[in-house]
Amino acid sequence: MRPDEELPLSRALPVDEDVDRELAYHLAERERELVAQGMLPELARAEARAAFGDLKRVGAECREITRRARRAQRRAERLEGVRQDLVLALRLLRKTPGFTLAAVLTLALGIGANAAIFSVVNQVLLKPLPYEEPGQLVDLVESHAKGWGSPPWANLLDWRASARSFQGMAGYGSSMETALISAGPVRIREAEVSQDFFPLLRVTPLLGRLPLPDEQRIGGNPVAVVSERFWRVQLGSPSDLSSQRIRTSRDYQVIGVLPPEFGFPSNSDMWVPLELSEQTMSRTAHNWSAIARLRPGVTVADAKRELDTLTARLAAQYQPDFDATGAIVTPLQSLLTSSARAPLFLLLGASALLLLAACTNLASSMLARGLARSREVAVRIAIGAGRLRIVRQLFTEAALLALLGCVAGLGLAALLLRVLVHLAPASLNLASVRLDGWVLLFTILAAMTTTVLIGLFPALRTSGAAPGLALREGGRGGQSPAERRIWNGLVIAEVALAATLLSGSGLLIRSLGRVLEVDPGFRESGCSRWR
Amino acid sequence: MSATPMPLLKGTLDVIILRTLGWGPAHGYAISRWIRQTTGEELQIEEGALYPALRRLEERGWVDSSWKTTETGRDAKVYRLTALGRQQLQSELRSWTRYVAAMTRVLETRPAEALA
Repeated sequence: MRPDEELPLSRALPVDEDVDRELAYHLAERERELVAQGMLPELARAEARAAFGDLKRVGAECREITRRARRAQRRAERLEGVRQDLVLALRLLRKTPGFTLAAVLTLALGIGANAAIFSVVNQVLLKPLPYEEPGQLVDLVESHAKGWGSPPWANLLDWRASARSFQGMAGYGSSMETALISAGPVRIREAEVSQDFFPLLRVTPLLGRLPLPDEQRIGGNPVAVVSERFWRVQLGSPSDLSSQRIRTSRDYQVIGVLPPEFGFPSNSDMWVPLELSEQTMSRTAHNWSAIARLRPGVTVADAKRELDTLTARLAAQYQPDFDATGAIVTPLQSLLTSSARAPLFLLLGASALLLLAACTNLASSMLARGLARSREVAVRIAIGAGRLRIVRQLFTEAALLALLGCVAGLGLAALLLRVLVHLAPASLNLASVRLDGWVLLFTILAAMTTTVLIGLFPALRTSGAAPGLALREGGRGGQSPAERRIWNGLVIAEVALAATLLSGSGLLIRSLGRVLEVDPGFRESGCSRWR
Repeated sequence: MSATPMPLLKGTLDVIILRTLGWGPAHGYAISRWIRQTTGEELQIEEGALYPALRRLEERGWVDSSWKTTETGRDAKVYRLTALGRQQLQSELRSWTRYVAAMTRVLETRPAEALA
């Protein structure tokens, strides 16, 4: 061995051995030197130890320093490895801008559609109504021999007077009106609500007060409460309401502003007492919608049984001018979302499929790239690149794509959400939908799953191939132009599919709105104007 | 010359090691022997203190090390200045020279007249 030659283990010597051998070498050399000067061997050994100092302490200190240094170095090397992977991945993605653009766009469509639709589903189906004890709130309609109908005012009064299942029962109706305010004429949604309405929903006004009993009778002073949005946008957020008047069928004095989250029914702008107008006592005038709050412990079935009994008694009393046969009691939450439930889940499913399609498509085109690059990979393996290193490199590439897709997808989601909100009917109460943290998490999870799907499959496929074989195969140039055209075509088809699905989703939401907005006709409270 | 060796100023050992390695790669024992001989046993250095100091210099990237077989056929850990270490040596040399010159001037200059 030449004196200068490095020992094979020079870099990898364990810390303990490294320190012990170095210190032992020093002591041995010192001893030899002293012996050469004529000292007795035993004396020389003791002298060498004495001159050295505290061997144990020095050894411990050396070990600590070197361990710390090696840890820092390993960390730096790992970081450098990641940096190199990223740089290489960026360079490769830039080298094939068409592929990169298609991949990012595909991912963005999948992720964006998912995030937007999940936001809507989250708002409509998963979040409870913004009222106290929303589980107690039910919608009431009459069952008829054929179908169902809104309860006539007279029946509603009898139900309210006799039924024991409820804490409160209220009638309401809403319609679009032209109103005159100090700023000029505006189109607003006006709701007429009976006296139990606000106590039943347990609403306290943001500003001002709710109607008093004396204002909820025929000939009472006309008063109105308005939504927070109307107060802010149309009235200009006045803190003093005394000069605020709204003129529709009557000249209403504004007395209160409701909290921003309150919009029932149908995101109304203004609520006025229903009792201001005289109501017909007809038992077949199906003018009003009705809600009620169940007593604690009373089930929907209990309430329905009681109303059925009451209705049967009324029917016996008022035949033949009576058409109700019983009652239908529906939890308000499921009623407000029932017709939306199926289409929304359908949409969610469709968008999940879209993401899945995007993933598979990406995986296959990445695999195609991986195959095309098998020669490069084989060369790298042949010159000693670790299998893990290659997997990591391909994984980084996929992760980078996913990240880009995720960012683009979030932007697209925000855009799509605005479109969806614009398209959705008011009854879905989508105005307050925004991309929230959960959606963000969901999207990131989707992107990560995508990354694993895309990244690992081609990585394992490529690096699993025997290098020699790949080298020979790769020698033929990997992928023929025809193959490449097929893959490109696949990517294009997938994007087209995604766009089709998206516009389909928009149409679906729109039809959903139509379904929700077409009422049997007697729900709208137009009747007072037609008398 | 004084009979009792002087204690080493803090940080001085690092400069001495860098200077020694400035002449070429060396193992710990060679550095230790060189210091002992050149300082004429004037400086009081525990030989063991050299090794943590060497490892600290390596941690800072001023020296690197590898195990080599010496002329006598034994394995020794040999240290070598890195480019960074060479820069450090240059700057240390400059500041030490300035420091020593300033100290010498202060200590050896006799005022022409009374200071006060």
